[in-house]
Order: sequence, then structure tokens, then C-alpha cells
Amino acid sequence: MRFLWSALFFLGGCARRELITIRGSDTVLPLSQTFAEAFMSQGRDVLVSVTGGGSGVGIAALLRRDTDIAMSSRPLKLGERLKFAAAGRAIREDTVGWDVLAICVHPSNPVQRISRAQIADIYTGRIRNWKDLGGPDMPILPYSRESSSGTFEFFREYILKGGDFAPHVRFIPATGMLVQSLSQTAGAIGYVGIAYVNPQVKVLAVAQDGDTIYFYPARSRSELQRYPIARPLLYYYENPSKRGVEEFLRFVHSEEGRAIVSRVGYVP
Amino acid sequence: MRKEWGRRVFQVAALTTFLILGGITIFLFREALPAIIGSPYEEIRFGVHPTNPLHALTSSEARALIKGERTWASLGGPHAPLVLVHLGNIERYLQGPLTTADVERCIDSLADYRGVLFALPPSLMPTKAKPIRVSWNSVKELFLSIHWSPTYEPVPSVGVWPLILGSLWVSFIGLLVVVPLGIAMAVYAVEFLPKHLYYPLKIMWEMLAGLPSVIVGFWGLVVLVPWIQKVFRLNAGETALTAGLLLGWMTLPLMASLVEEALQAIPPLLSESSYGLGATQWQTILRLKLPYVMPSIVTATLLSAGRILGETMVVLMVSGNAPLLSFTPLAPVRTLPATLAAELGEAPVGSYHYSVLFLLGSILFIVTLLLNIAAYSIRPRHGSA
Repeated sequence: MRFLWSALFFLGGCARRELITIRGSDTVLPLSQTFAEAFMSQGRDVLVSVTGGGSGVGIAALLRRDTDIAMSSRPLKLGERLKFAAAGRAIREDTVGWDVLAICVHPSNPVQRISRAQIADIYTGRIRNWKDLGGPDMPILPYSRESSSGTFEFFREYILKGGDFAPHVRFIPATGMLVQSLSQTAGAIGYVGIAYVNPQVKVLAVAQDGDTIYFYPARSRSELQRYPIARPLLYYYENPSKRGVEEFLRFVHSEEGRAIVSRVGYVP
Repeated sequence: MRKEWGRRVFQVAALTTFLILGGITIFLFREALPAIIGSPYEEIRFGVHPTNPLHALTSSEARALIKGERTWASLGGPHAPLVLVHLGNIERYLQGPLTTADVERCIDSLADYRGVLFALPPSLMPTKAKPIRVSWNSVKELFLSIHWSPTYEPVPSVGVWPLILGSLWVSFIGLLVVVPLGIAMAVYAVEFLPKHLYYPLKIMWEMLAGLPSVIVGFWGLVVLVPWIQKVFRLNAGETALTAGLLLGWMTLPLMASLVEEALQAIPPLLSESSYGLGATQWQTILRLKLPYVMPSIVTATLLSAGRILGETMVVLMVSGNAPLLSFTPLAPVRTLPATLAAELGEAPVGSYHYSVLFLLGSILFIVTLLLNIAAYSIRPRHGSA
């Protein structure tokens, strides 16, 4: 009998703590996990559960009301927006940080800078030699993430502007391995999230389209305007939402939350 | 009574295995079928500006147009730049949160460009657009094209030859490594190895078989790739040769064990007669033992080929995965299993890309099945040899 009572008390205790769930992009996952840990360690009565699976998975779950927050490394696609609109659901978008892509080459490469259009020409196969970029007479070996990665999709849409990858582009299944390949291949070029850059590769300065000023990857919000390869990390949630969601988002945008973004390797 | 039950249990277990295998096979081929009979744009329609004189495009013309390799004018269309509108890029023309009406209005206004090409679901196609047919010949696209870019929207390239050729290169090099080395290892273990070292060696080569392939792959990436690059003075070390060497090395335990088993099974009487006739150890090995176990060597080679062909992780890590149609082992390759592993996770279930990946799986399945059938049809002759 005493056991039953304590069990009931335990369940009652759980019920008073509100559970919110976050699902979606694997790029945003480490950020959300760190947010959730820090948030819950402050002894609040909200439990946060975070799972990955990809941007599309999270958004589909939000549509089915299977999650409270969908995390995404890309804006909603048109088809998804129309589905929410058809279901009469008001969805809010919140940018929690920025993922900046660095264009990296082998440290021995003397080339310092590149324009967005030149990057596109390299990956579509129009530029094949470093001497066309003012470097040595050496073939360019472009490396890319596999097509299953969100970074790939972002790169194709925003850098190649819908162009197609040339067949000689090498596809690498993980970012860590891509950095390894860049560090040991003299003519290599590749794109990686700024959090993965290490001293074994060299980062190039990049110019916007039609601009002649080159910038290194942004480290702060104010620099984001000038650096052309950054994507927002987004939270989507129902409007109005649960009390716990509002409280969690307040934490995300607090000074402590912003510090977490930088610590995880993204730009607040 | 107990015997009867034991037999039942084994019967049920065997039957279940067969049923599951059969189920997987049927599933594999059923999912692959739409790659042949379907097209990547079943859900969408194509439309152009009403003044556009064209009524139909082939898939390769449409692809060249979209990639910017050809213009509308060169295809007999309007003298206007292409404005491509499909579900994947429509965000370029839209801003902010939208209602369905906003989207329709935006698409409607895009229909005024003379060079427009719509690739949209029928519900979103503006009424003023003129329908245009874009053909799709699956057999031609799959087996006569040499370009692999299955996620390119709205007209993908799904030529499978670069992938098949990639798999063949890696298997060929793998076999060049594993067959001579495997035979040498087996002969050494049976003929020359001191008795007390036999089990330590066996344990070591079984451990090699048990190494996680991701560890082998990483070692390959960090050590073998730079080495190949240096030795062959290449621009990059991720090549078919690198993957083939690693896979050959990984398959050694299988090959060596099979050949060793066969060598151990040679009746002692035979070799003793050979020695009795005055043959040396080398003569006995080369003239008697190896010819005697030849059917087993062929079987072992075919089984190793099957293993190499299906290996995923190592190739994914060290072969470069570029879908090039290469005629040298020093170029990067993309193999069938690596393509499946890299792309299946994100291909929407039931999409054309998904079916094509299952078609690759079916090709791999058939080749491996043929190799295994060949291997086991050679084996029975061993007894009578």
C-alpha cells in the first residue's frame, strides 16, 4: 500500500513538470542539447527532450503535433508552408543562431581569396586549375559533403544557385573526414562549418557577388551581412505555444543562451 | 518424441530464414521497379510562356537548358533567358510568411517571363502557362547516360555506369591483392609454419577479420591515402587503388581460411606418395597440392569477390566517391554500395531517387547471387577430383 502511494506521488510530481520536445536538424542538435542541459540545470519545472533526424523530419513532426519545437537548418519549403496554411496552423519562426561555412584549402596553397561565383565555377567544373585564381599551375580538387547532408543542399542552392556538381567532385560522408582530406591534399578545396575548422587547413576570404571586398568567415552577428555563406539555424513552433516553450525560448535568447551559441561553434 | 521436436525446431528455423530472405528479395525488386517503369517527374507538370513555340523537350535537352549548357534559342524556343521555377527554388522569388494566395499570385506573375519554364504540381501550375512535354526514357537514362546526379531538380541524371565501373575497379584490384596473398598465407600456414606458432597466427588473422571496417577505413584515410598520393605522385590519394588495396587486405582472412581448409583436407597418402617418388616440398606444393585444391581456390576467389563487392564503409571513406567514368585505377570512384549507403538515408520513400537506389541494390544482389551460384557449382567437383 505504501508503495502504491509513493508511486502516485511520484507520478503526480512528474505531471507537474511540463515536458517539451524538440526535434529536427542534426546541425542544430548539439546546440539544442546544450541549451536544454543548461536550461534544466537551473532547476525549473520544465523538462526538455531533444532528438535529431533531420530538418524535414522535425517539420513533419510539428505538422503532426508530435513535437513542440521543430529545429531546422533551412527555411520552410514552399510545400511545407502550404501544408501548415491548409491546416490553419499559425507557425512562428525564430532564428537561434547562424552556421557559417568556411571555404578551406590546403595550408600550402598561396591563394588567399575567392568570389562566390568562382566557388560555383569550381564545383560545376568551369574552373579546373588554381592558376585561374592567381595560384600555382595545379589542378583544383573540389571536395563536397554527400547529398544526404543539409550542408550540401544549402551549398547547391545558395552557392551553385541551382547548378549541378561536376562529376569529378569528390563526395565525403562526414565533415571531420572532409577536413582530414583537405589537410593532406595540396590542390583541394572544400566547404565546412566554421566549428570544424582546425589549424591544418587554410580558410579563404570570400566576396559577395559583384563585390570586390573579401571577408573572412563571420564570428559575430555584425559581420554576417558581409560574409556570403551563412545560414540561419531556426526553431519553428506553434503560435500560441505552451508556457514551457515560451520560457525555454526566453532562455535561448538570454545572455547565457547567446554565450552557449558561441561555445558550440555557431554565430549568435 | 524429443527427437521429433528437435527436428521441428530446425525445420521452422530454416523455413523462417527462407521466408525472410524471400521477403527481402521481393521487397528489393518491387521497390526498384518504378525506376524502370516510372519517371522522376510523375507528380509535376512542365509549362512555358504561351508564345513559346516548343511543344516537347527530351530529358537531355531540358537538363542542358536548366544547367545553362544550351539556351532557349538554340532549341528553337524564344530569344529570352531561362527563368526556371520549381518547388525547390521558388523561395528565391518569395519573401516572408505566405498564404496560398500569395504563392499563386507570385507564380502567376512569373508566368509573364517569355523564357519561363515551370516544373510544378498541377495544382500550382498557372492557367496562362502552356503545357510542354518533357520525355523520360528510363532505360536510356539509366544505362546510356554516364552522369550520376540523382538529386538534381527537376531533371536528375541517373546513369549507373560510373557506379558499376567503380565497383568493378575496386573488386578487380581487391582480387589482385587477395588471391595471391591469400594462397601464400594458406600454403605458409600449412607447410612451413612451426606447430607452436600455428594457433597464434590463426588467432591474429581471425582478429583481422573482426576489425570494425570503420577503423580500417579511418586508418586507410590517414595512412594509406597520403602514401598512395606520394608514391604515385597523384594530386589526391583517394582512388580506386586505395580502396581496392584495403578491401583486398580485409578479405585476406576469408580467402586464406578457405584455401587452408582445402589444403588440410588433402589425403596424406597423396603427398606421401609424392615425397616417396622423390619430389621436393616445392614440387609437391606446386605440382600436386595447388592443382588438387584448384576448385576450392576458384570458389574462395568468387566468395571473396562477393565480399569485396558488397563492402560499404571502407570504400565510402577512401575511394573519393566521385561518380567519374574512369579508365585508370588512380582516379576516384564511386561504388554501388557506397552510393546506397550515402544516399538512401535522405531519399524520400517512394521517390524516383529511392527507386533508382533500390535498382542499384538489385544489380548488386544479382551479381553477388551469380558469384555465389558459380562458387558453389564448382565446389562439388572437388570430391571427385
